[in-house]
Amino acid sequence: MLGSRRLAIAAVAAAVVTGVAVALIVMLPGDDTAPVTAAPTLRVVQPGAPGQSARTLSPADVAGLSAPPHNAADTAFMTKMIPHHRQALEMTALVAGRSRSAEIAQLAERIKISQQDEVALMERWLVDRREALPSPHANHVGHGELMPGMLDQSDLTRLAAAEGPAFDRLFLDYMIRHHQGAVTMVDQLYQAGGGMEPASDRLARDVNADQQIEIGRMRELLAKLAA
Amino acid sequence: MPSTPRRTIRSALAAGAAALLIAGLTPGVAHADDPDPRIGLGAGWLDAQSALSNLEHLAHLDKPPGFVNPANPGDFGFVTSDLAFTGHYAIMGNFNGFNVVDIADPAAPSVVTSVVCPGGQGDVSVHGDLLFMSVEESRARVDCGTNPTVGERFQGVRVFDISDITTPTQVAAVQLCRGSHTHSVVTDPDDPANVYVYVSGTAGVRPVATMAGCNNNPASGEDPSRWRIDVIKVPVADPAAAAVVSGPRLFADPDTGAVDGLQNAPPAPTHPSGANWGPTPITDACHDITAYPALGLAAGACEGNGILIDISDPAHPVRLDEVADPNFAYWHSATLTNDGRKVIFTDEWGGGTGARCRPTDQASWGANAVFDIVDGKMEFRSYYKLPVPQTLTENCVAHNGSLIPVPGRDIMAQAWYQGGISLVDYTDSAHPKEIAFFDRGPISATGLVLGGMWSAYWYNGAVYGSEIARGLDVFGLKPSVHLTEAEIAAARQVQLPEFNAQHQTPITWAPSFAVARARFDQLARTCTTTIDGRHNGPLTVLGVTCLDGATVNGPVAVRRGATLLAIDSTISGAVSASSAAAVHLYHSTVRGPVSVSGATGSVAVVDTTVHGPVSLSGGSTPGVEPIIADSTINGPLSCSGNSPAPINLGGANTVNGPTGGQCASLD
Repeated sequence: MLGSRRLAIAAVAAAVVTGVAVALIVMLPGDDTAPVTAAPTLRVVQPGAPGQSARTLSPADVAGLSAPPHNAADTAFMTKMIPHHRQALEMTALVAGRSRSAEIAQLAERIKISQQDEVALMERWLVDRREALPSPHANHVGHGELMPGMLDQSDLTRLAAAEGPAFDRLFLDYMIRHHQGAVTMVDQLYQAGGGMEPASDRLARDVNADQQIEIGRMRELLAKLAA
Repeated sequence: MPSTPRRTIRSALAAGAAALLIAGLTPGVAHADDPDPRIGLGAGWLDAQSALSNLEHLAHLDKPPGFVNPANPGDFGFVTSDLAFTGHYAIMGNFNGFNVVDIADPAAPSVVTSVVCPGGQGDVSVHGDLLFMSVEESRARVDCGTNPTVGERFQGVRVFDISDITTPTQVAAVQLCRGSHTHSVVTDPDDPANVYVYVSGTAGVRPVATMAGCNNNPASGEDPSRWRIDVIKVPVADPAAAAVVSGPRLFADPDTGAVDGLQNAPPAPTHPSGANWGPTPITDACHDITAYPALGLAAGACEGNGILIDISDPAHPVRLDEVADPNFAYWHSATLTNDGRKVIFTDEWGGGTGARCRPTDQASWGANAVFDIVDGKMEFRSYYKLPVPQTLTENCVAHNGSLIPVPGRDIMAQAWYQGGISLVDYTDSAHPKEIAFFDRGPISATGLVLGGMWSAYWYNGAVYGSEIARGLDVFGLKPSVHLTEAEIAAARQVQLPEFNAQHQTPITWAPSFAVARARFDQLARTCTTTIDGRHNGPLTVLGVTCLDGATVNGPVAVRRGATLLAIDSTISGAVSASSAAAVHLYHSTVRGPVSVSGATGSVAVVDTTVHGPVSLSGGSTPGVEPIIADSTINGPLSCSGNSPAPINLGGANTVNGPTGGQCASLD
């Protein structure tokens, strides 16, 4: 049934390309009683900047309209952000047994879930575009370059060795740094000409907003610990 | 007609039969205990099965070429978004621009002009010859270009001149730090020379390299770009001069002045469903604001809070009240009632891209919250969620809606993404109920493909739905036990020159037969006594007494505060009412005089024969004219001291006797 409908669309598109205006009334099995009208596009304009006049697009122009495709900067952003997020999961895994703060435990749980969610979205983005997924070990220190805000081996060792309030402060310090790194990576994405593809843009803006929210929460907690 | 128990049952059966599952099958007779026809609808992009109840599907219009990616119907680059209306045009926003659709005949909509101007979300509003459009995506260019690697970047609000609807021309483009996710037109009743645009930006702050002054400063930092809305002032005669005039800190703590004075942490570590919050209900922006300038009031749906705003000085709005809710993941949009005494907020749990109408999702999650506004403060009354589950491959949650102007009732048409459209009656704000619906099956049965109704708005007689992946759908209302023909006709008589759902204007109804009959129909839902056969002897009317095809052999006396509704009935005796709540005589015969004095509510004598004099006096019914129309009166007709005076709606009466006082010209 989808096939027949696709044919109808192709017919309209062909008619538009050849300059023949047609209006198809298609009654489809499976729809309700409303007639399905595939109307021809009569007029397509593209305005200019303020002060400029609009121009009329030809059927060929319209047929060529597409949203910006993803580019190498988008792919690099996703393949780097995934291991970046995974290191946050390594950090949250250290909380149990080291922190005695319920607030830190809650925060860590939230960060864990949100980073997992975003990792899943980024993996889906890569798979949908037939791009390679990063190695499952790419977050481990020594595998590949260290992204902004990421902890090196000595940081991780220090964190793992800390306990109680000292752990809490270190955890917050490191996680703020880590999240700020993610924000930096979003900036770098745009500086490199990425984020123009709508889905990549949306993901990057979500990552940016989420990290900012969590940074704010962590700063509050840090101030509370210091008081 | 008055709803006798017997007739109610029959009507309910008829309504059930109207809820047809139309799936290319011969529709059978539905029974009251049939499963909801929205369950189990077959999937498909443009050939999904659909079901509807109490609506008539007048038309469907596919997305035009250039605004759809046939290889991926859910492509974010071509999402259909919000709607605005001007004259006989619907403006349908799209992440790639907008389309102007001629709706002079709602059953035959056609695209007049497609306007290519990418940038999402493409939220649109109109004000006279001006059209405003929200832009938040990084790909957008000032000059509407489609190649984001060149040209000047744009995130903010575009202003178009649409005096020639076939050639919209951009006259201003106001850059903003967080772009514009949505915006709302705010007029100043005292200053028609200017119009204001309240901008809600929810995206991350753009890089300072693309706009000076933007920053990610914390709330305690210097002039943070977050925790504010942007107010643009547009001189109507010189829209090119549109500019930001203020950045109100609507979330400020009144005591400390801290700009982040509202909800700064989720109400619990996780959403009540046990899942992570998504989005996170933390207030650093509004998502959408609905203004009601005639009341000097706006309702803001602001991520972590719902707020009421005094907009009597549009450039300097002031927060009046705020609410939070443990179930709300994201305060998304707001709709005030016509009298400004109720507000509905929606919760876009899941951000609109998630399946949040699953069988396991409770009615308080991703739902509407209905509040009464009492002395300027919001009081929670109820939740309303689409009352039927959707599949896991359908993004579904509460989304945009608008009022259906049925006098005397609060009814909203609302979009629920792939949950379709639901019409909800919340006249009783504690007990909202669905009265009509439309739903399609999922775009895909195997994976979630973004789609569904973004907005469902009533405009000048029809409900328009903008479908993210499929285009425009138009619906008419069908009479049912929930909504009568007269109530629909009364709604249809409200004709506006333009409409933006986020800019409410007072709805008024000119007196008409439809409005009068709608009052009758609404009172008929409250009958306390119904007589549909013979009644011998005098009848004393208490409560709400309804005569439906009745024969009363004797006089009828309506007591103080009581209501008499008579239709297709014969009364062999006088009808007298003193200080009655309402008296309606439709298509009836009275073999005696009719005397109504001191009525406190609606009075109507329509298409009725009275064998005797009719007198109407001393009624005080503000805004509700007594009606004497299309009737035959064998005796004098006299009216005095009624406020307002009786009218005949152009339906002259035959009066076989003198007419006098306020009724002198009703024959």
